[in-house]
Amino acid sequence: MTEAAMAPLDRAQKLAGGAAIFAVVAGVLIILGAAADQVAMPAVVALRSQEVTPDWRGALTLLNVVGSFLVLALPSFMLAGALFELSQVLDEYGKGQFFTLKASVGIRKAAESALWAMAFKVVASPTIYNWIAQTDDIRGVVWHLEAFDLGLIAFAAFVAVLGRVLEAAARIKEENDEIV
Amino acid sequence: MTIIGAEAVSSANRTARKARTLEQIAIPLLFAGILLPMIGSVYLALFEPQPGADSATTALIVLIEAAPPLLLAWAMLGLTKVLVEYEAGRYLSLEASASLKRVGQGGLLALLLNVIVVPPLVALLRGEPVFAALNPHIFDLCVLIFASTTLTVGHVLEDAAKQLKFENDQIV
Repeated sequence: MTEAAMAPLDRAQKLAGGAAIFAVVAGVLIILGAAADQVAMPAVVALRSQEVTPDWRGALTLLNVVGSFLVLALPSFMLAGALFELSQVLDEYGKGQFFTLKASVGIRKAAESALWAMAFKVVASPTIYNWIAQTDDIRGVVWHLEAFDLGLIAFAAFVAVLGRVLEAAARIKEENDEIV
Repeated sequence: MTIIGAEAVSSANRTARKARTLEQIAIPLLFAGILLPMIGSVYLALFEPQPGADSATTALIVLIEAAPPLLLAWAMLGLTKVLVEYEAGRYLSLEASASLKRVGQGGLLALLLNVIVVPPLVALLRGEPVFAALNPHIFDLCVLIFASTTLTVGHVLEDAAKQLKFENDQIV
């Protein structure tokens, strides 16, 4: 194999290796950022206006406040999970294994995590938050769907479909390799 | 190839065909889901404006806000080429990988527009502080990183496809 042919593959492997590390670092930063920005800080602000007594009632108040903000931060945590999946895919690519079952399954799982994150962002988190935070008995479904969310859902859904097709193809390759 | 292998190939191709059919139904629906509310909002802004509101500015804001989702939907059209290649069993072809990369680039551009360009522009038109509008939500940043990582997957697959093509050309 000539050097000219090696260049794109080398570049691809280096890019994948670097991106795998970046994805892990970004995932960790997202978890820390979301925990601080979406859970800890709003919970501290909310707790300032509520009395937290050192008994069961106080513990339940604390749990209620932290839990309700945790529900709102869930989509960010799920996307961090998707990044960890993608980092495994890129790690496989970094080793030069471009067409393996692990990589293809990783793409599908990452996209499915992104879909779950969108589902939570649009409907599940606002609804659950509403149920926890509301004091009256009216507990309906709350939607926050913007046009851009629609595009993101479609984007993630098609990445999931691509992952599924690649997974089917990788299975064939594995079967063929076993036969050979 | 064995009969089991042939069945598996046809199953993978069938999955790709189903996905392409789904995509051909879903993308017009996606455009409709973005365009129809936008047309309604532009109509309301121009012909039934809120008291004291500048109808032309409101309509312009609606159009600017619709630009990123429309760009994202347009980028998704590139997936048809990817799925056509997959349907033909060419999973690591140069065309499929390049199209996948282009979809990722379009998606990333749409996200950047949505997070960085549109909010200050809308704030400027509304006469609000521009830099205060530049306050991306952590979820937007997550999606941005997710899309850029997906784009990297496309880049890597394209390079791998180039390598494969070169090897095949050498053999021929």
